[in-house]
Parts: sequence; C-alpha cells; structure tokens
Amino acid sequence: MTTTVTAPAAGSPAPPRAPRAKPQRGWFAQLMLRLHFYAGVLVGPFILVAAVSGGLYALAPTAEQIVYSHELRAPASDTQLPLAEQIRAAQSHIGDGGALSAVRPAPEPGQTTRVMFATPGLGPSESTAVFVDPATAEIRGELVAYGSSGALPLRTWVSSLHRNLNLGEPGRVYSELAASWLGIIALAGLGLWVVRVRKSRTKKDFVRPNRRYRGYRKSLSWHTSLGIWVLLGALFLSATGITWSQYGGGNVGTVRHALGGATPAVNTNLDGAPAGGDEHAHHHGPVAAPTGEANPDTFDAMLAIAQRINVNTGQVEISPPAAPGQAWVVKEIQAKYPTEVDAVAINGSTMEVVDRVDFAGFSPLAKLSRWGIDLHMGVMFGLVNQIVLFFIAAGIATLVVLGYLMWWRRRPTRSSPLEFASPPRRGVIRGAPWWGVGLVLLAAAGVGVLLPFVGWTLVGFVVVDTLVGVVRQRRALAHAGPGAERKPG
Amino acid sequence: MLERHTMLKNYTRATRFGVVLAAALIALTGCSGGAGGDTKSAQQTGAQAADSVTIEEAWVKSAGPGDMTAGFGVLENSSDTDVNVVSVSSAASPMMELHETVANESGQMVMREVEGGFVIPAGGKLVLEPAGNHIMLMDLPEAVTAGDDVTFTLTFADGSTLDFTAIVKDYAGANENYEGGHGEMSHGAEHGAEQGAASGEAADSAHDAHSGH
Repeated sequence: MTTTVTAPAAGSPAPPRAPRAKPQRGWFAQLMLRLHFYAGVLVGPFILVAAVSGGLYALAPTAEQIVYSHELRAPASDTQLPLAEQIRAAQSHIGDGGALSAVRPAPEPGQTTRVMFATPGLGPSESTAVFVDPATAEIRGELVAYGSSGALPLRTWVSSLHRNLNLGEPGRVYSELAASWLGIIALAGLGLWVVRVRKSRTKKDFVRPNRRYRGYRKSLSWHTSLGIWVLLGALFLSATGITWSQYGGGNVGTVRHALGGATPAVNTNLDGAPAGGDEHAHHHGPVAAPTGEANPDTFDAMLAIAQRINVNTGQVEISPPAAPGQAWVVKEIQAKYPTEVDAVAINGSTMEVVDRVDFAGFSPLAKLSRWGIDLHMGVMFGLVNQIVLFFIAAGIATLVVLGYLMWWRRRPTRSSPLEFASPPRRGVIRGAPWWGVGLVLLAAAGVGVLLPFVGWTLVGFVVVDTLVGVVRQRRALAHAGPGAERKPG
Repeated sequence: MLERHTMLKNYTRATRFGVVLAAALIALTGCSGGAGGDTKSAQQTGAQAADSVTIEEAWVKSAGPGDMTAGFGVLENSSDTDVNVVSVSSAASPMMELHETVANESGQMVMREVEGGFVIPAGGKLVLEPAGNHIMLMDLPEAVTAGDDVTFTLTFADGSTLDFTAIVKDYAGANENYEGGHGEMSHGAEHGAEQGAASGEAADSAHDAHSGH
C-alpha cells in the first residue's frame, strides 16, 4: 500500500514539512498510492467476498455434474423418442403444477431432455425443469433451473452469493461496488508497479515474491508480484462483471447501444411491430407461462424447421410464445466455443419462419460482449476456463488479504498497540501541474458518471476527507498556533 | 445425437460402398492396391445425385382446372450420401413447391414449403404421401383426370435432374392404400428431426408401380 520512501512506516503524527515551493515530482505515483490504499481498504471486503464466491462459482459446473448426475444423465441409447412423447411424459409427471415454457432436447447420447415449466411461486428467471430420458421417456428428476444457463439449485445459490450475497436485489449493491472499484484499484496498482519497478534495483521481486523478506517487505513482495500476474484477469472480471450490475451495467448497455453493439434478438412479434430490445432478458421477470397453445407435437416440427435454417448444434432451446401474437423461438444455447447462439422465430399457427438471427452477423462489439459473458461464467472453454478463473479468484482474494496484512504490519507498534498505520498523505494533487489536475478531475468525472457507484463513493470520500482535514487543521491551529497552517491538510 | 446416427450410417455405407468399388477396381485393372476405404461420396466419384435416386408408385391426385393438387410416391436413394431435391417442375403446373405437413401449435396439420427442399437420406427413402410430404401443384391450367400421365422433373442440389411420370388417380379411391404408410412414418420419426419427415424404411405395398427414370 505504501513504500518506505513516500510514507514513513513508523508514523510520526506530523510528517516532515512537504516542500511545497515547486511542483512535486512523483505526484502521480502518490495519487495512485492514495487511490490504491483507500479504495483497497474501503472496498476490500466486498472484493474479497466476490472473489471467494466467484472462485466457488468456477467449481460449481463440475459440482453440478456430480450432485445432479441422476437428473442430467441417462443410459446412452441409439433410439430417441420424439420430443412430443418426452414432453407428454413430463407433463403427466408435473400435472397441474406448471405450464410448459420451454424444451431443451438432450444434446448428446447419455444426457437427458429438460422439459421446463413455468411454476407459480418461483423466483425471477426460475422454472421447474423435468429431466426426461430421451430413449425411454423415464422421468429422471425435477429441479428448479435458473436463467439462460439453466443453473441448477447448487450453482444458482453460489451464483446468487456472488451476485447479491443471497440478499435479493438490494444485495446487488455489494457486487456492483466490488466490480466497479476492482478495475480502478488494479489499474492504480499497475501504476504503482510501473513507477516502482523502474526505480528498483531488485526488479525480480516485482514478478516473483522474494522469500527472504520478512514482515512488511514480505507481504509487499507477495502483493506486488502476485498482483502483476492477476492484473489482466482482474481487469477482465471487473469490466465484464460491471455489465451485470444495475447502474453501471445499464450505462454500459446504453453505450453499447449507441455504438451499434447491441445484441440482436429475433423479432417474435407476429403483427409486424419491431422487436423490443431486451438484451439481458434472462435476468428480469419471472418465467411467463405461455398464453398461446403449446402443442407437444409442434416441438418436433419446430426443431426440424430450425435445423434447416440455422440451428446446427445439439444444445437448443425451443420456446412456445409467452404471449398471444408472438412467435415460437428455437435458439442455440451453446456458450462453449465455438459459440452457437443462432435463433429462429417461427409462427406457431402457419409454421412459417418469421425472423432469424445469426451470431455470424453480430457486430464485433456484440460478439465481444457475448464472449465476455461466457468467459466470465467459465463456460466458454469448459474446465480449463473454470480452472483459470478459480486461480484468478484465489489470486484476487489473496491480494486483498495481503493488502490488509501490509497495512497491519506497518502500524506504529511502539506508540499504541491499537493505532492504525498512517494512510498515504493527502494533498498530493496540489503538487501536480495544471494539466495533471485537469486530467485527474476529468477521469474522475468520466468514470464517476459511467460507474455511478464509483462516482458516489468518490464524492462521499472526498467530502469526508476534506471535513476531516479541515477539522484537524483547526485543531492543529488551536494547539500550535499559526505555524502549523502550512502543514498539508 | 441425431447427426451421429446419420453419420454412423453414412460411415458404414461408405465403407461398404468403398469395398465394392475397390473390388470393382481390382477386377478391372488387376491392381492389388488397397485404395478402397477412401471413397467418400457419390459426387466425388463423379456420380450425380439423379443417378442414385429412383421413384416408385408415383401418382397425382385428380383435380379440376385452376385448382391445386399434389404428387406422391416413394423416393429412394441408393447412394451413400444424403441427396437433396431442391425443386420440381412439370408442364401440368406453372407453380410448384416441395411441401411437408407438420402439426401446428393448436394441433392442426399445416402444409408448408420445405426450406431447401427434400432430403433423401443416404441409402434410405422419402415417402411422399397424403398428410405427409408431397409435391404441390398450384394454379392448374388444365384438369388432371384419373388415368392421365403427368411428367415431373426433379432438380437436385448438384444440378442433376430426374424425370419421372406419375399416373393420375382419384384420391378417395386410393386412400386405403396409404394407411399402412402412417405406421411406418412414426418409426421414421424416431430417427428424429434431422431427417425431417423422411421415413426410414417405409414402403407401400400393393400399388401399381409406375416408376420411371
């Protein structure tokens, strides 16, 4: 968090007078230090929770395969019953407990078909998935599935923990705070790393921890070298994580839209009206029961038609319309590379194809956001993806702990056992040239507007910090007389 | 999964075809080289789709001038690759389409043009029958009456064509002959949507074969 050069470790309450006559050199590094320190100390707990829950989420798909193996798998067989038969089996299993909302045919031999029902009492984006053996129509089980990734209860729980601490919508504040600040803290850390590695004579300590160090220097060496390795991952997770957030995510969506990077969606309106642009559709309202008719026999025909249009992967979802006047949608749901997310809208009455969307036709920005989401969720490159994410998460969690450790280790042990180490001093911006001040203000305003949580917390911090400074200055003036007024405050 | 079935079938057919071809080569040239297994498709060996397709029991439902009607029969593909019929033409109608019949969301059977045309599976059959796949003839300039012959030209994806003649019948009288085909249809459906409504083994019996090339 600091160096022995810029901030004295054994904090004397009144540091030596800053040479204020000329613009200070290294004002930028000092600003980065102050940013990295305060943001890290204040947002650290949230980042720690996000990293730990995110690391767990990376393990969740594997755990899901084990925990729910009975539901997800069935004896491999050469025969496959028509979807209609599988759907009817699921319907007689569920009875009046839900309305048929979608079907995901078994993608490969040995896997089960998911027949999904909108069930009263479930949360947003949740549906009851009935797992059917495609060869025998045997019901293998029934679980609540969440969202477009079809997460089962275990993964959903971990996912919610990561997203909102399982506190519902208000809990999302935590993850937005963590995602918004993580990137800034990481970049400030990179700034410090670059400045210091140039001055250092032990450059190796900046890429791998020096095992001979003890105490503060040990934590610093670990924090610095681990940080540079985790940096890109942290920046990526921060940037993609923000797209899920309420406020920042909304702004990112608006910017994407303006740049023509919106994710194309099939137009399901049968009356010719344009499609409603609902990009993150999977995380909004509860799964609606189709108000149109969902004849089980139609699913087979829908799939066959879609396969002639652009559906060419086994991972498919067939959805009857959620409202009258809407088309059926057959869409590929293969997040694993190569991304297969083409979709077709088909009029359920005339059986005519009314619209299609092809991933190949996505704008580069829309493709990148798709890949960003899939990489963040660890589904794009399967197990390798998940292992890498797990290590990045573990790295970020370790960095937070090391950061606090560094702060703890440079506390003034002699004066008082409970006193905290002094933070990097304030007022460094006064030493910056005019353009530096301008750039910093501009960057703060820009980021603050795009990421409201950064903006609000930054404003809050500056207000509190200024008040504290003013109060301290007055006290110092009252105690020490006019001479203390030149202390940076 | 569905693709896998087809591929597996293709593979074994290809192997078998290759063995036959290799035997023929050996017989012709006396050469003992074992190049047989590499033969992959009819196209690659220079054969055209039309050469490997036959139609049996071709017939057309009788209809008056200005009406629409349909043509039926059993298309058979003896090659080791799927064959794609992309269009059809006939002097009997200026406007023709390749249709399938599917169940819509309210359970009604709906006729619709098949995107990309019919696919006859490798070594398999595609049954054209009432309430199933059929050749649609619209805006008939003249009546087609029972006993007439109607000549069709099928065009395949590789550009080759197949001409055949179908006899016109009154549909009501021919109806019971097609009952047997429906049971076979559901068997074909087990092979799934990949093959569309293609019926694997269906073959109608007791019908005056009116096939032709």
